[in-house]
Amino acid sequence: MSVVAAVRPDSWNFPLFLHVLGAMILVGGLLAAGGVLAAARGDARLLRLGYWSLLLVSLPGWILMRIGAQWIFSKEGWDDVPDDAVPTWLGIGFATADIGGLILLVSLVIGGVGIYRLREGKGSGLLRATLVLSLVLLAAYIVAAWAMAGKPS
Amino acid sequence: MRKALELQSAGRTGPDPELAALNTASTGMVVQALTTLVVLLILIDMIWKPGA
Repeated sequence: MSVVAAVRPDSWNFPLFLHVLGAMILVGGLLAAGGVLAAARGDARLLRLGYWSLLLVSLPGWILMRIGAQWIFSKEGWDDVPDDAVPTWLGIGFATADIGGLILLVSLVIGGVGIYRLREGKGSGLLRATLVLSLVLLAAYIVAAWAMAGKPS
Repeated sequence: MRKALELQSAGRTGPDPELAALNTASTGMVVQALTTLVVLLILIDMIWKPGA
């Protein structure tokens, strides 16, 4: 373990910390939002809580995770490595971060419209779509966390 | 949790001020803050590996 610890220069620690902290906040926010939206069963207060958890916890978490990812990517010198030599775990991380970020934005827009419609008394169908997208994202990020931490290849 | 179950078994499933007060008690906030701090310290320990 000491040898592994000695391999990583100290200057990599803070960007890595930001990346992992952001990922933890992102997954925590998705779990909270998904759980609350699933348990809401039409309760407007819980539906709003789920949406705001996604907006105020998951989105900042994603931003922090993505900034940390780019920073540590650059620190580790992956910029200079040809694309075909980039390991699979890194590709999985990038794909889930970027496509997941897009899905998160879509789910936030759909959820925002859903919250507006809820206020107008027009039902909560769009927030159910937000719930489904949150659960898809949660599953994708769990796979990404496994790939990034376990580095299978 | 116990209070919620008591209310439910008594057939009172609507909002209850006593239950709301219990849910917003400062003890819950303190425990939440302490848990957050501990998780943060574990993460710092895992990344900086003091003494390694």
